[in-house]
Amino acid sequence: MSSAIDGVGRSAASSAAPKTPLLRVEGLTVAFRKDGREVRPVENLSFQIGHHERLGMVGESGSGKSLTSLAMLGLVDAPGLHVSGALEFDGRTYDLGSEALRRLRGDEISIIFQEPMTALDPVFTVGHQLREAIRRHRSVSRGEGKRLAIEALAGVGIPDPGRRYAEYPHQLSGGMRQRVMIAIAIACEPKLLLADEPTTALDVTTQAQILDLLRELNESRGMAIMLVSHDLGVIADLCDRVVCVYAGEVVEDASLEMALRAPSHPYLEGLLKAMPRVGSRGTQLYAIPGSVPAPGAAPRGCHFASRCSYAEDVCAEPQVLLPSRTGGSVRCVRHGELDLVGVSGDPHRSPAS
Amino acid sequence: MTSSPLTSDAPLAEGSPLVVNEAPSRRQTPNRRRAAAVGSWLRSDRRAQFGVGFLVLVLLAAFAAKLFAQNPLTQDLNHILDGPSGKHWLGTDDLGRDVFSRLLGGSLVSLRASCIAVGVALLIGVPLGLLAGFRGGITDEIVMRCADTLLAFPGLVLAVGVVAMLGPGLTNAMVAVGIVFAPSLARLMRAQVLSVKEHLYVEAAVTFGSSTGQIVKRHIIPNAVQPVIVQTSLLFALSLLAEAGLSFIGLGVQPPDPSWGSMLGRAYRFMQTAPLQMIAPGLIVMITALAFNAIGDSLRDELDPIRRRRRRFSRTDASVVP
Amino acid sequence: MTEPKPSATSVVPAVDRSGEILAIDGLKVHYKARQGKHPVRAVDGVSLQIRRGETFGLIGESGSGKSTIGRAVMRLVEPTSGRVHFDGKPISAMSRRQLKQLRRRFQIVFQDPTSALDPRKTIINSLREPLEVQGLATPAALDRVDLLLSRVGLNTSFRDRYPHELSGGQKQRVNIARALVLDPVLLVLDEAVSALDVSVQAEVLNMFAALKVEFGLSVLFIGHDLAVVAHISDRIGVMYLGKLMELGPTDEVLDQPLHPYTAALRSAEPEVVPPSDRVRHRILLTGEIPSPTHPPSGCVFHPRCPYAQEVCSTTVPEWRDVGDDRWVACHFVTSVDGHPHPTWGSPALG
Repeated sequence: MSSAIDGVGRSAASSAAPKTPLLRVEGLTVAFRKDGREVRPVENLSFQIGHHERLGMVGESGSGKSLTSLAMLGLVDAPGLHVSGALEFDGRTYDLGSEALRRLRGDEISIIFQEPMTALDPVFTVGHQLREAIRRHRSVSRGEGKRLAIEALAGVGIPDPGRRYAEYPHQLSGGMRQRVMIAIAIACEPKLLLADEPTTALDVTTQAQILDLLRELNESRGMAIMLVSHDLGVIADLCDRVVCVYAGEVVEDASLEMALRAPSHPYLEGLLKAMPRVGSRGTQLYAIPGSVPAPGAAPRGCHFASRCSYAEDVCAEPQVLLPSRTGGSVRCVRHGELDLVGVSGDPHRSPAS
Repeated sequence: MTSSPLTSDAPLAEGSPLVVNEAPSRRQTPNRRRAAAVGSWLRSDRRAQFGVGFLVLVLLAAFAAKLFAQNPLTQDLNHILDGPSGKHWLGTDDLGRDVFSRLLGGSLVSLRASCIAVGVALLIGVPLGLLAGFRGGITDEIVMRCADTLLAFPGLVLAVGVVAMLGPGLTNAMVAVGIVFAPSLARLMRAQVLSVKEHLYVEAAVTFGSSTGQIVKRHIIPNAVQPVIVQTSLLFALSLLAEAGLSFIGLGVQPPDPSWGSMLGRAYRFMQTAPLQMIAPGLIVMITALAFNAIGDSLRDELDPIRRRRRRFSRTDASVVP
Repeated sequence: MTEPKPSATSVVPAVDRSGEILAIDGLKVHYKARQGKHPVRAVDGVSLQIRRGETFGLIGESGSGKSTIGRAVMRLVEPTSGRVHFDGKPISAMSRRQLKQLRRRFQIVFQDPTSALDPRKTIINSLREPLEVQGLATPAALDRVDLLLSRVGLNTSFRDRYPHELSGGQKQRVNIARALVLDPVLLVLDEAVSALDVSVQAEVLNMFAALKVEFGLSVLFIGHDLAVVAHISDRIGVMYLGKLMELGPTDEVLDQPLHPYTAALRSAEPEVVPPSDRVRHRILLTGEIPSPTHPPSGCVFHPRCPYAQEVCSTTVPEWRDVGDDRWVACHFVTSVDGHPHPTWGSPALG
């Protein structure tokens, strides 16, 4: 499989200086007015992705993670919605909503979504759509485009690519469609692939295949991946760094290893403890009290304070992102005093018991 | 009881007599609750106020006219096609009859006519659409092919055919119009039922032992009927126009009886010389049609808990308590 | 595995925990396909028993037929062949009228909490509906509805709300309360937590565990997420393409899968474990689940099975009791103790 990819791919050695990140989002805010006051589903959110990195952004529904991924690429454009913040990609700064950013999408940054059926055009064959995607990027003839397209289909693990080339989206299974989407997304040889819940609609064995494919593309092409998901399992499977989002803010940013083994923010600890796992049978799961607040309804200080079992008076103050003991950052003023429990390989030491 | 859409606002449906320890407001009889629901609907929605108010006004005026106004049939050939005057507020027609009193006299005829047409359409279309959508299969095929056949005929030709069969006269003509309208209602109802019956609450009702009749009454009809109500209000307006058309070609109300449609038909001939003759019945047909539409729109919103809450509590958030 | 006892007359399972509350015997459900003349073999010969007081987990991917089994138990679909006995009574053969009374004893919670509630009914009206339908709407029973509502964690302010004013988790609580209104002994949970966020899912799973004890329930838990099903189930059955592949006590089945599909499913499940602690080797299945209109010959899993031999494509493996309360359908498993082959999924084989 990897040899086919190399056919379309390019060398992964074109990395910039290791210090500068590939993508940096600074102070991203999405705001709208409701009942006369401003509501911010995403507020002053900053993070970065390194070259070749696999970043996972995790959060429950309503956390603002999907909105973040759309807004940072200038894809949120509704009347009354105000998006601000800065995006830096590969050393260049872009205005959100600018024409330059639009050109960046589909060139240096590609996106795949949860439901490929809605992203593929039902009246064209998948081959046609893939070929045109390739031809938009490279000036090749139709015949050459078709050859490259079939090669790309093979490259994302589609068996019998010659036949699939002539098929329409509805003739493919969900997993195949997602593979086609990936093939289209990487046709322009992006430096960053943004995947928003790419496996949520898929079965677990198919999900494993797609995750493996993404990992392989990352390793063979050096393409960075930003995976947005509600499922910590999927993120743990693919990513090497985790950004945890709650109520429109980054609450923790850590390496996968440390995020799982020693979370610094109580919310992340709660998520980990709430996950059932093989071996947790017969035990009570930890349930974070309350529910994710609606945009604008979160407490004024630490947004998580009302649901946090470690909350104290100091948590009523607005929180800033602080360096954590595990080498990342955390939005919790008490993180230094807390001894939060993560997960480890031995099920008997899992926190659920 | 639950199938009656107007009660859905009340907090309790069936079995309310069994509940003894309820707040006083909930101990009302079904009729009083229904009246209270209608009252709160009328208080809260301007569209309903306009629609219902206008129709009541027309009816009152019509009855008052029977007692006080001039005889709409009295001819005065010395004053034909007169303009408005103190004696004839809206002038006279080509036979010197008072337009204002004909308008009022015709209102009962026209409203009754559209009620007949819409009633016939509802009676035929809704049950057949319900049956076709709910049963599916061969029943669906038969009902829908019949509906398609009817729809393929030009409406007026079909109505003329039915009148030819039943004999002329306003009632027969409007029954014919009702038959012409029925297929569109059947189609609409069927489409609604098809989508409603896919919901899991229908299956859930099966799992606690509901009979088919109970499911249709409690879940299918209340959830499917909303667009049918809107369509019905449109049909009221359309049937006013159909009455006009049929009377115009002499198949509806028979001279010298007045109706809005027949007035329009006669006035059409004098459009150049006496335009007011057309404007008066034309305007009242238009406003009546608007009134029906307003009632339909408002009823649709009233019967939908989501829209109703949004309208009444639009100031606050939905305020879901965690 | 004993045959269901037809003698059981009491519907309260509190004392007698020995027998089966539900017995599914050779169940087949074939649908007529929209197009083409081949039927969809949604369920193709499944036998399993649910014991009183246990939670039985049925796991499988889409198209495995697991939900169809739940629907057949609820008699929402008619079996093509085979029988379903509830508490010794043949559900699949009863008339609708006979079934109505018995329906009080087994209830279901669906995956989609929104679709399962009538948008035009207030919460309290939805909860009272089962009682009204069954003619049980006595004042005492209606009072109990309020208790149930608070038991699932919703206070009385929810009584007169409409479904659209509730969150997904709250709606699912209402569905659970409604399933309990008739005081059932068997609860079918069809992907009942799949649509919920992780923290809400944890609450609901905890609630199921508590309610099960409190109401003396037996549970058929249908799901696609191995960790969730394993968390709640005493025994699990693994389904693939309309057939059971393996069945047995949860811990044993997951620790030592006897069927290659179980092993693959186990290894595909994303693990929330720090990378440096990972030992597991993933068995990556090739291809995708075939269409249930044209299931493969022989063992339905053979086209994707990394260990398939010639016999797998020609002969349907027998559904066999291999001891230790475990059943499996694979040619290459003789018994648990007989060590017929290396355990599937060990690093050596992966």
